[in-house]
Amino acid sequence: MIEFGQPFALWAGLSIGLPVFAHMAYQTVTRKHPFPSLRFIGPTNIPRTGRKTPTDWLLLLSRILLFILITILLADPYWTQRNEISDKIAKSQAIIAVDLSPSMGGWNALAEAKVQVKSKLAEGEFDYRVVGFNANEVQLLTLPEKKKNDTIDKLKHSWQKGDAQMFLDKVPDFFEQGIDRKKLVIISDFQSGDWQSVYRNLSDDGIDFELIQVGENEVGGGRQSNLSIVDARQVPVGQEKIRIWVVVRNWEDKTVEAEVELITGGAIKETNKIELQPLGSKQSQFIIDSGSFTQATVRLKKEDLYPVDNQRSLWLKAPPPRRFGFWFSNENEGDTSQEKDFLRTAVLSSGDSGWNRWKMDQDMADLLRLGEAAPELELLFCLGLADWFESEQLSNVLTKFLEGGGVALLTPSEPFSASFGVIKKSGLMDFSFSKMAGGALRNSETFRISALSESSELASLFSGKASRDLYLTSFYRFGVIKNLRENLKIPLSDRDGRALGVVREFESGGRLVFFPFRVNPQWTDLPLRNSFLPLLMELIGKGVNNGSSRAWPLLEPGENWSGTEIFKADKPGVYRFEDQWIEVIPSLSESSPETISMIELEKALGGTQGALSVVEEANDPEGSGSYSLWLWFAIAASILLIIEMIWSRPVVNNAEKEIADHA
Amino acid sequence: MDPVHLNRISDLALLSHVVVDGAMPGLHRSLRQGRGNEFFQYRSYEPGEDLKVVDWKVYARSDELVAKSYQEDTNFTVFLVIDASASMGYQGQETTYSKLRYASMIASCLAYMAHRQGDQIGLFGYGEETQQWIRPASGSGHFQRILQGIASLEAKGKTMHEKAWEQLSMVLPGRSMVIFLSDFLEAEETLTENLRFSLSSYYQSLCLQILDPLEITLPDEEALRFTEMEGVREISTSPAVIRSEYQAEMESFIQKLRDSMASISAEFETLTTDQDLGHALRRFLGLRNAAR
Repeated sequence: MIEFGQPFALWAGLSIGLPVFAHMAYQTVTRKHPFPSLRFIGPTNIPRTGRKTPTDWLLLLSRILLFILITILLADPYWTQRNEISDKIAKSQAIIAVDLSPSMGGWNALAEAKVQVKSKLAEGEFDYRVVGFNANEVQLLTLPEKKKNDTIDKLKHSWQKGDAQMFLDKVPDFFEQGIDRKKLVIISDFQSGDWQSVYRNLSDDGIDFELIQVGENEVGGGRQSNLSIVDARQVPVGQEKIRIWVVVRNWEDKTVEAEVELITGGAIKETNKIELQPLGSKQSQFIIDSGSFTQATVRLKKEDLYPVDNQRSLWLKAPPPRRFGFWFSNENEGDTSQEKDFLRTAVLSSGDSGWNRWKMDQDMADLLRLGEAAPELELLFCLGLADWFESEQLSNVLTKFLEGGGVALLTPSEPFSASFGVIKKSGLMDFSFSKMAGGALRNSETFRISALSESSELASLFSGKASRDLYLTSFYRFGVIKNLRENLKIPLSDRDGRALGVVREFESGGRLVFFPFRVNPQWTDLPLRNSFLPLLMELIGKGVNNGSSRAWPLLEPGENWSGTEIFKADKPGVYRFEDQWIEVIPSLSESSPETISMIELEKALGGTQGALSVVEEANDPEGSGSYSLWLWFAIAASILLIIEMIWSRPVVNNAEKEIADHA
Repeated sequence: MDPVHLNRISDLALLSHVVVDGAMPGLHRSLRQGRGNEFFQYRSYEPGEDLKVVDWKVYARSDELVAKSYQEDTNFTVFLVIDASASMGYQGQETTYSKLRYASMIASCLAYMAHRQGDQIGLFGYGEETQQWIRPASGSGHFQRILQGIASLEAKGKTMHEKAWEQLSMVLPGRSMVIFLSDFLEAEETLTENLRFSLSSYYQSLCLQILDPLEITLPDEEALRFTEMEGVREISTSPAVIRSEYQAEMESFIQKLRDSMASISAEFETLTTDQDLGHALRRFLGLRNAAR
């Protein structure tokens, strides 16, 4: 049926239109007549003439219809598809949604939530459904009649960080079809971290809502009292000791004393007392012998309102070293052998005395060369690229390695054009070769590195005195390449702007680096310089700026770790997965006692709680099934207006036309 | 001399010939033969006449003695004054020509008649500005110039009777007949003052008021919006309602004009454009003959 968003416009149209039509119906239009002198002509009332001819009546009717259409247009018409309102009581349903994020495990929130659920179910006002939601799922609970309470009591909080938006987006799907009155009851602690960015206008979905906040701990003095272990690291100290340091945070606005315990081998090894300033953090350290235990636990001695974040587990084993290898021609060329030695020495010395280590694993590199999987190989050097690379069909293998996240460095052989041809055919990099810069002798022209761009990663590494060694580097020979494709970067160039290094990034995080020179003193003195190691490691993406210091994987619940299989982090703790020793830590944001204001949340959910009723839903013109008819009426009015304008245009009769012609 | 039929003749020279020679033979006196510069016709030589009048070339060709006759020039001037303001461009629904066209037809016939009688002819056409000013002269060539001047008049601009007549009075030659062709709208107050020269015995004035029949009776329509041709005023009215009052006012206006003319010894005649041209021509002839 047609309805109007602005019904008053209809009355306004009538009050204006009726007098207008009365005037139009009886208005006589006078014709112009030029006359020599008006001195004896005076004005008189124009006699009214009725429009009695059939043509005039039709024109009048068309004008009336046009005016009606315009009036309806202004009244905002729309078509609603509405079911017949039955005599029966409207169907109603309510969803009770219980927040099961980790923060509900503290401040007695979950216990209170269970009480609230049972209370709501007892009301019996609606056909209730109960769901529990956490970060990645909304679970509809099956509540058998006799074991309803038991099921509710078995609710547990999850370990994944909460995602309230995900839950709200799925809410409409949980109501059955044909429900007239929908209500959503959310029981949560409404922690800020989970709820501050949510938005959904539930009134658009025709859903009323009620918010029940739990875990406020009003009796116990509020939620502020919480201490959290926010960080715990282990680093080797020398060869035989391990240092464990722990950071504890105080969420309360007053000074608090805490005790941190170190547990190894199932026993409390050591306890440290610390004093925490209001809303401040403090570090505590332990030093133990390495090799005695594989794992340790640090925890706060005193249990607080949110015990989930009071404990952290750590592995005490050193992570395996990173592996690298070489591909080169089977012919033992002197240049290749020199290059290999320089690069091997550089990489092996790039580790620290801690757990950042590199290990040359040529078996792994050979395995990869044969086309076998080598997941542990992180870095590959392809030295003296020439026909051997093409004949062994290694471009596909290398591409797969790079797309899997691996890093490779290519160097050319002689003639340079052969290496260029191999690279071009393989499709690994697209550029053209111009010529060889420099001669065979070291006495020929020397090329230097140009000033690094301010925005480049190398500029931050080589700043101040560190840059002097780099800029003194001499290049005697290198291949001049140009017309580089857009996906290639030039991190290093000579003073004439010619590339001294080309990098291609892969989406997987893999990286391909090409040097247009051999890494030996015949081509450049770079491998003999102090800046060679940091430059090399930075170019292959393994430098300090890349944050690739070695540590065991650190995950939060819900995150995954990929090896040959996938490890899914579920709850905090330490886990062995393939050759990885994985630590799963609780989400820090769940430790915050801050909750969102109910007023803010109500606005984000589309208004005040309980504002929607069945009657209002019935009057909602924007509800589903309403179609605006504005466009159709506008088209009809436009067509009628054009017809009226053509129909009522002035017509020159034949007599007047003849007079005009003979004048 | 139905002006509807005469209007089809666009050439004023032809029109004047048709009217004067065809429609009005004998109503005007023939041209006098006498001693003039303009050749008129050949005649038989009368024995005893001066041999100077014999055309010896004709004799050489035909062995016949013939004498030339010359048109006698008069020293009388006919001055045509034609109002060419915008109001003269009015053309009623029942006519196929405007008032100015009607006035042009009369003027061309009068010019031809004057030319036939050997009078000098002058022309003054005016509206807001002077459109035509041709000094009086005689001869066939001058006659053609007069007709061209009449044909070139356009009905435009406001009527400036006072300015025009003031200018006219300064250039009028002696012993003239001044023929005014105008609708004389808005002129009755200033007419007597500006045409005072008519009182002189040297001048004779013939004022022909040219009106469209609808200016007398008003158009037969229920309602019209009259717009002034020489201004911007507009009046919406019903002609049927105001007709009787309008006609009374118009008659009063014409009578006032007539009285004004009489007071300065000027002849006055009101013509409507549906009347035949003979009436105006007869008035002219009457005056012209009286002037001899």
